[in-house]
Amino acid sequence: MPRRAGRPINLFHKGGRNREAFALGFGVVQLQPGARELTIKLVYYGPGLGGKTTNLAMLHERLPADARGQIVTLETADDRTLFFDMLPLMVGGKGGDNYHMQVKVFTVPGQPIHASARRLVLGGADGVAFIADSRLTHVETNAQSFSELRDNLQANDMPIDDIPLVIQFNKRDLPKIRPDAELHGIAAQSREMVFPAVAARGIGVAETFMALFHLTWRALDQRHGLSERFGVREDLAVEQVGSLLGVEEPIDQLLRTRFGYKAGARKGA
Amino acid sequence: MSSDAKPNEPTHLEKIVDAATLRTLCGSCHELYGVSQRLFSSTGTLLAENGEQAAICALVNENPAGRKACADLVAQVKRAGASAAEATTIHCFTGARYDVVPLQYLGAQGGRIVVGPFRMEGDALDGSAPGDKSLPENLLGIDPRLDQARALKALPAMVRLTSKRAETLRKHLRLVFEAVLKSGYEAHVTSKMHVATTRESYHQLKVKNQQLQDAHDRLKELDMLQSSFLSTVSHELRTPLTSILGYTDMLLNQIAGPLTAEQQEFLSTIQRQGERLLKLIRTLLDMSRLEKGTMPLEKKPVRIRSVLADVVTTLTPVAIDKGVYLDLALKKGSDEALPPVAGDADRLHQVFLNLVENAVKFSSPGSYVTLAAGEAEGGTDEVGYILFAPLRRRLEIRVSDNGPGIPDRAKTRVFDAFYQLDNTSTREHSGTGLGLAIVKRLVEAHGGTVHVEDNTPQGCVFVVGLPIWTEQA
Repeated sequence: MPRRAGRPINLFHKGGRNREAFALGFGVVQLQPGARELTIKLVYYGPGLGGKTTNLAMLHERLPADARGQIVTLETADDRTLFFDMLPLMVGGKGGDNYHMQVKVFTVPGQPIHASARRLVLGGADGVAFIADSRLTHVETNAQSFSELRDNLQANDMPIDDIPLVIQFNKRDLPKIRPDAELHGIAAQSREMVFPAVAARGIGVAETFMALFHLTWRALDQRHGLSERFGVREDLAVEQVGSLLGVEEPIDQLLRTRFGYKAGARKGA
Repeated sequence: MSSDAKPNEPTHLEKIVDAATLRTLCGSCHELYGVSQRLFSSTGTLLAENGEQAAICALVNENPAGRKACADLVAQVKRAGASAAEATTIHCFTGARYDVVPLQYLGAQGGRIVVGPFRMEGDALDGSAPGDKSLPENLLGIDPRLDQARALKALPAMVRLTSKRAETLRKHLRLVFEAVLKSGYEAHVTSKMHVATTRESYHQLKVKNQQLQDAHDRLKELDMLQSSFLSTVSHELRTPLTSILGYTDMLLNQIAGPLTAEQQEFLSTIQRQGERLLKLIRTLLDMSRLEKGTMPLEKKPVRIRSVLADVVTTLTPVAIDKGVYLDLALKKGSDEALPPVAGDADRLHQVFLNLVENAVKFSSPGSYVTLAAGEAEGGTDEVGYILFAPLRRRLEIRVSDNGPGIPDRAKTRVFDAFYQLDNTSTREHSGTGLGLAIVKRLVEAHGGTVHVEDNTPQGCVFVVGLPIWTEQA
């Protein structure tokens, strides 16, 4: 397909048939070089009723009115996500900012029957948060959902090793959950960051999101030189997103809330 | 496409655009022209309303007669244009007017907009002629008690439009809302189309699935036939063999009379070879059941120490014969420390019996065969391992020997059926070449893994990983 003039360039894939893959019309990181506009797509993945939509709603609640769009929700009669929820987040473009960034946060429908919708929504994601249910009874569904995520990413030509990924263990306030000690032990050895959360009470929501944004920006920066292109340093972009969410702590401090954090060892750095 | 695309299907505005968006749209038009607007659905429901009540309207509504006349007029306005294709004008007794603009798409009415009240430039009392000092007769006729002085003040305050501007307004509103209707209708049809094509592909898949299911059923039937053939054959082979062995045993026990030393030797050979043949038939039957996945496994929590101890007890005489040391490197009591594995105790016994028997067979006198077990370390290098960890817990059992070892090229092939490392007819060690093949399939049927590593300074280690028992296993 020949590239049409004026269309944002998809830089995520290094060529081939996916060079202009715009799943659902929402592209992977879209750069409008002249206009200094940037769109980043983050996807919240996980098993059904794990709290993906709750995470999104909590983020929405924290955002000031002028930085958030309406949540676009396509849901079934029983209030379960049908296709996706999408929360647009507007950063920059005010005052002295010479760039404009939109972060689109999607959730996928968790129920097993919506497998094809999950694959579509995942297309062109720049970063993924996996929301797991902490309960012992959900070990298998978590694992199945994660295997599916890996397969779907692969099907979209995005190996899981290459995509910024954060795992959240939600519902830490419930009984019969995987113990902290176990998660600390494994997370300390793992490659990805793992955060505890009680999304319904807003705990761990901002931490998960900020960590994902931080990792995603870093990955995109390495790949496309975002900081240089937009004249925005990583710490500034992260700080701007953080202040929109009303997060006062610096990113380093937020990252310390993760499982398996050991003082002195900087992960994801 | 089905009936959805028929031109006469009603396309309702309220079904296409949500109320809040309609109010915003109407509000913006009101700001642009300064004229009040009301948006009605095709069934006459008020969807959006803008603008404040005109001063003259408020005045008329002060008295019962005026209120009634006003209500009648409003009802007339609401009814107007329900079926018309063109804009209609309703004249108010105050001299003002309402334009009713029908909104149409594909020949069907999607709703209508009522614009007004407003007055036309050039009508009496437009304030442009200084002589306008009298009120419209209609107004006076309806309510003789009307405060004429206030009415004379209020009437000129009403919004006025030139006929050209009124025409532009009607055209604008019609274009805007019809564009909304059009795009909404298109989206509606597109999504219907998507659903229809998905249904169609689903239908095709269903047909294909049915065909596949039929083919699958036929193959399964064939498979059953083959399977029953195998068990029948093995049964038919075993029955006469059991007789042969039974009678040999009786002869050897000299029930039929005394035997010469030579006769005894011949009979012993018949017995040995007969037992070998029986074992081979059993092994073949196991193999075929494992290949087919029909091997019944009764999974329970199994303490591996007792399985290994049993194996050692069974094979100790063989080991002593060969002068090989059998070492169960598990301390008594360590069983409690080791979590139970999920498996079928008899089949696991078969696995380790095979492995240890092999190890003893290939060991030279004076060397050691060691059995050890412990929980395996997980592969935390894998992305998302934290999610899989509880499902990936493994007990690792290691059977090591100091035999000749297995070269790298054969490390995976040793598990192939009928594979022999030493394939010459003069090979030193006997065997069917099925032992390790069965071990691998049995372990895999347990959801486990088996592989060979080198032992130092020489020999090899068979490493069996078995899933640890969980309530979900």
